[in-house]
Amino acid sequence: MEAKPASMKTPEQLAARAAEGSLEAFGELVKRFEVRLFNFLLRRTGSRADAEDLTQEAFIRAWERIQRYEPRWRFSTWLFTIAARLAVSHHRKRRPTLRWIEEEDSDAPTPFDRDDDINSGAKLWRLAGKVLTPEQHTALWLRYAEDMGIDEIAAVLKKSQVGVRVMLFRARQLLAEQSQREQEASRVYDAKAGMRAPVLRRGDEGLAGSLS
Amino acid sequence: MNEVQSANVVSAVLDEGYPGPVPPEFAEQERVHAALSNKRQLTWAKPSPELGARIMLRASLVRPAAKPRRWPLAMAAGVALAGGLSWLVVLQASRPAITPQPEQPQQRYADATPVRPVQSAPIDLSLLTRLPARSEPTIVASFEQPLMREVQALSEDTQRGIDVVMSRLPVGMSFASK
Repeated sequence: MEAKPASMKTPEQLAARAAEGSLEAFGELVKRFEVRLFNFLLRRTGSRADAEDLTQEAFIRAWERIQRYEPRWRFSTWLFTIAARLAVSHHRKRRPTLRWIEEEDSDAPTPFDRDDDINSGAKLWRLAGKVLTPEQHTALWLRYAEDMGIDEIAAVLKKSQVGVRVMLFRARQLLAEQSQREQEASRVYDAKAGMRAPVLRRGDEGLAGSLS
Repeated sequence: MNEVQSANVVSAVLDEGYPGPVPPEFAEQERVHAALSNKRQLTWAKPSPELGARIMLRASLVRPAAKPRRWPLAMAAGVALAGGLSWLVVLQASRPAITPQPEQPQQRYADATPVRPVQSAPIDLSLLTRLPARSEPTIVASFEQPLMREVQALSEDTQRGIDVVMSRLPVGMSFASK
């Protein structure tokens, strides 16, 4: 029977091959997870250079410890757990000076600059980068960008499953309230001066009320 | 419903795929969930093109650590146990056999003659009359003084101990005796 090419194997099968010493299988894993891990770390660090360094470090650590990978977890969960721990220790050494703004790095034109639709995912992600805590943002990212289950997010963040449920609940609640406020403020600004409303941050709750 | 209960109810449907609608009071959660689930609106930043090559170059210079094996530990524990047991066996075998000796009756008392009842000496009551007048407090004080000194010293030590402990506590007050 002919063996499947590397590109057709699951990440878990590739990890098993890598554990036997196959650098080719590991290369395939790097190819599949490089962008995903980079984006995850970009939201955690707020800097491209730091995100690239940590992506590289996370892969090297995964390669060094590939023998310890337990197939009962998805490979992505294991890899993101390594990356999340690196990000935490990076955060302890150096606090990010600015938060990642979603549109800045988009290769496509930015169609959301005048996006007043509160049901727009892009707008909500932009808001998430501004109003959520790093941990809430990470939980939301793992849930929606990485399609992880509650148990997997709990493993990556070292939290209880109830803790993750509450974290997601609060994050969605905050985004819902914030997007509503932003839309109301936007309407008032547009009506009065034709200007864009600023993004309200936590603590600015009174602003929306004072504008209307 | 408190926040944890609400989170569990909403998360069961939105995150864990349990069938059933989200309660109407959490419609906003559902709206945000639907918007975030649309992956086409997610912006993916691109890393530098050479990042993958850099990773592979470093990986080729590093060898994965060997899986931690448990058998050497188990073997060492087994050898230690076997050694200990054989040492015990040798020790037991080399000891002379000790057989219990029957107890011999022994004479406990050389002289078994009954003891005469002791005649107590009569108290000389004239001693009391010879004591100086008002000497009772002096006698009592001579007994009590060392005890009182001891009590005083103990009390001072305890107070000092309390002061040391209280000075370490962030209560901002001292219990030292004034």
